[in-house]
Amino acid sequence: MLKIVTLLVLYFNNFGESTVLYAAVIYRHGDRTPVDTYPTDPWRNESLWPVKFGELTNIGKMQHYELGKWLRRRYVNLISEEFDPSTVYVRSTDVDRTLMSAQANLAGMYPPTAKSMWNQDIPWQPIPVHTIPENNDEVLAMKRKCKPYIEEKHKYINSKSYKERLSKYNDLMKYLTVNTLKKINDYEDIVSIYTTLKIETLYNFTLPPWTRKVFPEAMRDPACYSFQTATGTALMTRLMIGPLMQQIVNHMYDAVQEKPNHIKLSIYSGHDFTIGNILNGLGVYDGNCPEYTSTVFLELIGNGSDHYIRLSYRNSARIVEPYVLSLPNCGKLCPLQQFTKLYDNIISVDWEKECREGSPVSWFVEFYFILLLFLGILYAVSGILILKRRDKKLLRQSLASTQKRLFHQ
Amino acid sequence: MEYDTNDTWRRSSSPKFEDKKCKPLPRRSTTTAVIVLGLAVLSCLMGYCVLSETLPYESKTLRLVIILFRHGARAPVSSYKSDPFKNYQWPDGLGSLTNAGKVQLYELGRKYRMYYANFIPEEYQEKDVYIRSSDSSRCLMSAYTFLAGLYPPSERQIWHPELLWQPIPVHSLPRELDNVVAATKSCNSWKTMYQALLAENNADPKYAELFDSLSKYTNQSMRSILDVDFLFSTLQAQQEAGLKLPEWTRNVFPTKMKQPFMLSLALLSYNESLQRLHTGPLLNNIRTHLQEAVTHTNMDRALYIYSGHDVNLVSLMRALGHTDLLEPEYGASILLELHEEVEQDTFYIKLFYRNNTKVEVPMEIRIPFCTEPCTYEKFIEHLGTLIPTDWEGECQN
Repeated sequence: MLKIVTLLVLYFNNFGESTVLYAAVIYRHGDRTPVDTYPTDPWRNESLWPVKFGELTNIGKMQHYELGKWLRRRYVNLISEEFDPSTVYVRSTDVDRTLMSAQANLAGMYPPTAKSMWNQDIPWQPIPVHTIPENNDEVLAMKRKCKPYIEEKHKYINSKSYKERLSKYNDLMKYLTVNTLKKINDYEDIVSIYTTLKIETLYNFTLPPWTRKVFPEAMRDPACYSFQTATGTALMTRLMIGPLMQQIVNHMYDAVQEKPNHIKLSIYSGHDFTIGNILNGLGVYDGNCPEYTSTVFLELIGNGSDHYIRLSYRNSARIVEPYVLSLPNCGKLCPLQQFTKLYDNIISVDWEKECREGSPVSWFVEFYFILLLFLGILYAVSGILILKRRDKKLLRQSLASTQKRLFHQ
Repeated sequence: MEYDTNDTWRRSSSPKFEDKKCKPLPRRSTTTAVIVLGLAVLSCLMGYCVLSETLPYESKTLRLVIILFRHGARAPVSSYKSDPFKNYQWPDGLGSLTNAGKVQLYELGRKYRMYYANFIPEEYQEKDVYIRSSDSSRCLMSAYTFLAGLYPPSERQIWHPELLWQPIPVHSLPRELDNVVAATKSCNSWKTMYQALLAENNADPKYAELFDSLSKYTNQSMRSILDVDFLFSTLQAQQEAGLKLPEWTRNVFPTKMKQPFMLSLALLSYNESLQRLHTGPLLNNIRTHLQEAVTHTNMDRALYIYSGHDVNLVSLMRALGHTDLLEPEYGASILLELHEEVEQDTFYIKLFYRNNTKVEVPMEIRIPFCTEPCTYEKFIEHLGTLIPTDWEGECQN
């Protein structure tokens, strides 16, 4: 008995020594209004909602404020009490609701101290949230154009297995199309309706009777499956979440090497799409749609000279403790080296190069084709013209010679 | 500042109803008349002094406002070799916005709230306003505190009972991609031209003596007006933070250093070719905002806010034809207003400047290339001459 107790004590002691050396926190924005409604939606009038469509509501601000307070407690030993721009970096997609969520979150995380209080009336301090337009953002918005990705996705959604799986929902999609008067063809269309209905339920808006048959049960699975389709193949995953994972792993190695002024906490403010892509890309998506403020944690744990990655997730708009996810073939505490090896296909991406490939090459090919075509047409046209002119000349000549002959006669 | 003595400025809002109050004169007896008259004049004067600064700007013709401001007070960005404060612990690191700087921009936001009370809706709504900032932390933070002053939450918008603040999105772009606000995106042809111009100015014999003495005192090579620029900013930030500058600075700071400092700010957009590349993309944005308002393609959005640096203000002023050397203080702002004369079916532009956050009312300044009132067409035509159609191409990137 004593042996077991000492073992347990040793175990916990050992565990106690392990510390978080770096953390990447990726969260979804808070409560919002629907982004789009459907033609037959009784609640499609924007004025029925507290804010414009797609914007963060007061509830959403409060949710993130609370999450920020909670994050502060979780990382009390990792980050300083005062905001330190050299060790904490906050990045958001360039969308109002994510920018605002990040600000509200930081308001909860960094209430002004006596020293940083700048305005006695407002217990808040400004903290920079960096962003970049979505069509330039391959890291967090994951919306920068990449031709090889588009081609791969095209192949993927036209594959037999994809089509077969989707065909299971043909009846559902037909039913939805008839009742919403919106063409419902794919998982993405289903999730759009599903999310809108879900938000309307949250706001206690009575849903039309037709929804009873399919919402939420029948719609949930295909709706939430939509978060798997952007990372449907290994190549898609590499091009989709590679840049973000690469950035995070690089920060981890900086922390391991104790580089001066290395980033200790990266905060990413994104969407359900972001969360879904990361979880599915790492092979741990459980099929449930990411809720408001759902958060993925990628933490670097140091224990002596050993370093591990711990992946945790919380999927609730309420403040709940995250649970540790078990990484496939690596477990709940995955050695950093092993993680890098296992996910090499994702982390080793050279996004700029790989996405530029294809495009300039094919552009060149297209250009060449057009040039050839143009030259061909030019050749043909000029040929015809020359021929015509020659014809005329010949005609004139023959006329002249006949006239001559006639006159001579 | 040169604009303080400029006789073309005038008060933008002279309340008209006070004139009426002054007119009726009681004539029963001379004494009462004198007293009443005296009181009336006095109250008129006082009323004018007080009200003209706090009264909202009355304008029925105003359609669009574009604001570009400089961030607030900051810690020095750099140090120099003999700097006695080299190891001074700035609370939030080098280049960071100080608490005083946060207050400055908050106050500026409140002043614009008051000034444009009849124009900017009291409640923040995404559709009305677009805010864009340089990606540098002090500019982002300045934008946030400015907005905290401009848009305190309305009752409906209060989301936290004890926190009278609301998050408002501020858009930005990483510095290496930003050719609009911070103008930090690399541009090869601009760089070549700028460096040649800088070398030419550095060779000016009038700076030789200053360079020599600064090199001696700082214990590092000071052979460029750009070096003077950095040193000037550092000394200024230290002085404002209440640090006692070394003895040698007395002979040169700010006096002799000021002209090369201001010239250094101006060099980035010194002539038209430089302005095209350095300021053209911002002018292009401004042109689009104005066009959208004039053609009613974007009816709601009537306020654009840009948060940048001193050089960005200088560049915009120069591009608008004001080539006197400038030193925009912390929180200095440039205002462009679009007005519509409905009866005559014409639009015109007004330009205002406020050199720091203490000035109560922005002063109107003449637009050099335009006769007053400066019509929209004339203004757009001038902008057009400075906007490259293919920025990347002209930059030879």
